[in-house]
Amino acid sequence: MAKLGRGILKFLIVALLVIDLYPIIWLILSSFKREAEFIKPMYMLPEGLHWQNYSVAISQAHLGTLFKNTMIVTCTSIVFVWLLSATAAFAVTKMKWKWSRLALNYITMGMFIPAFVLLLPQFLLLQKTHLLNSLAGLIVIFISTSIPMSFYLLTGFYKYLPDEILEAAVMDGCDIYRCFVRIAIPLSLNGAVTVVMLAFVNIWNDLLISQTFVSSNTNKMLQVGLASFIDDRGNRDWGPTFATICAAIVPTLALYLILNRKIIDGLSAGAVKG
Amino acid sequence: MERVLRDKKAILLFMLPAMLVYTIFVFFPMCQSVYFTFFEGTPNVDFEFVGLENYAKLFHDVDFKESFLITMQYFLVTGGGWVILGLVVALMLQYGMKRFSNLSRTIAYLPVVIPGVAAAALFSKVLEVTPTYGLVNSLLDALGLEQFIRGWTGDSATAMWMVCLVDLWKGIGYYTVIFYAGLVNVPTELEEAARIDGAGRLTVIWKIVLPLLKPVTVMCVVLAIMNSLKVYDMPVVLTDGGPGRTTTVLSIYMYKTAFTKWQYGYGSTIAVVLLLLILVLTQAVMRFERKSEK
Repeated sequence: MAKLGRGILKFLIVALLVIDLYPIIWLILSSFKREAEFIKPMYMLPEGLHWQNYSVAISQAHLGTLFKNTMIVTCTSIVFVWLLSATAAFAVTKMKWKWSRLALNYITMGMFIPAFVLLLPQFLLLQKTHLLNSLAGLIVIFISTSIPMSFYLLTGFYKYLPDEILEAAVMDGCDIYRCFVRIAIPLSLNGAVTVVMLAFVNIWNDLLISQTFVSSNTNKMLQVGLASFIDDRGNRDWGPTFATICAAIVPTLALYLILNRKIIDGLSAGAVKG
Repeated sequence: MERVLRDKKAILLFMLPAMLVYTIFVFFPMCQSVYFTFFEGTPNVDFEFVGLENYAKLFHDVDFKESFLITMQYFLVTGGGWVILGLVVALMLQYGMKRFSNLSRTIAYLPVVIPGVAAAALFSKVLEVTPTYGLVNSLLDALGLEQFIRGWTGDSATAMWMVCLVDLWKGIGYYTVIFYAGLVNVPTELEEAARIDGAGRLTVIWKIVLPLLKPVTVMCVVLAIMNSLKVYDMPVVLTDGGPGRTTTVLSIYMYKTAFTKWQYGYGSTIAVVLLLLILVLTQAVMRFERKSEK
């Protein structure tokens, strides 16, 4: 009886993993099909590797520009997100001052504010500072809206940094800046990886913010471009559409597969201990 | 030691950048959004003070009521599904899959990192009916289940359920991983002791594991509330709020009111109502946990 139960359980798990994985594999396979193959049943494998879908996608959807913009915005943002939230999280958890508790609550409150509540005022603010339709404007918005979550996760990591290590370092003549750079940062690398990866995924995958603050073609972001490409041609050109979707997925997927152990552990540590 | 940790200049240097951008681009805009709800028109051009009129308007607005109910359906089906199925999958992985647990977790988390737009686009093809059958319909066709073939996202009876299902597919892994981390921290001695006393596996899970998981569960519920109430990408790309208004969740309604009809005041009001809803629900859940801890 127990053996039967175990077998059913194993079968269910495998079924679940297939449901998770199959649509993604199907997408990748379909991106290599010729136009004529889409008349045949969808579950069939591609007859060959039809790379032209990708060249059409690159030229028609302007993937180059979209990638460049999204790369610039995402990479610049995550560096600042990490730097600003790490320094603030360190000051709040390890340093001693009167308002630290208040500052902690003030910033973590931001996690509960959804992006669309801020859209209108942010729009007006960017308009006033002439940052509307620019990558710089997007970067500033992404940095500030990503800080609360990163800050919260990092405080979870710094809390478990033993005070004794800092004390020993101070005895040896380290000032506070060196304590931060030489001790807090190296000992919370898992936290940094988690924060950077989460911010990367959130910014790279964002539609709402990038769609609202940038409308010019030259500064368009990847997800916005993808959405409008699907609107325009999704029904006619299946091959290039699949290729474009694939291209949009690849960077986050690759980053995740490289760093996945650290991310899952880091996410767990932040969530469970924090 | 004390002197170093109380260094005022260092604290200022560490705190100021984050505080500054957060205050200017998040905190002030939030306050401004609340302020906007008392006005009508376009800021700086013809912004007219109307008091609580925008809030009164909500009660007579049929479209708002409809969007509110759709958002609630999404919250219950998708938000609830994330937490319950996330827990179930985590339990299954913990007790059913000893050897490949890392690989399984990696696969389970995979849909989470895919962009919402891409996932929606992918599933619009999976569920396609014209010009050719998508993956689901062609499988139904092959299995001889022609009577079930339909335009899943174009039919007002199924469209909302499809949006819920696709976001379930994409989101469960996130909650699974968090629950799994909580499960790993449950001391095995407790379970073993209970097993020796003759308790079955399900009893152990129900009586020992689940109560110990409460803090993690509260965390997941809070995240699910926030993520399901603010949903935007999935219905926009998969169905664009349609057919009709059947998948127009509050965030889409707010977006169209503010950025298509340029009714800033009323758009802000919808946004603020949704913010209040999120705050009330999450605070209630967290208070409930703190109370039962005492």
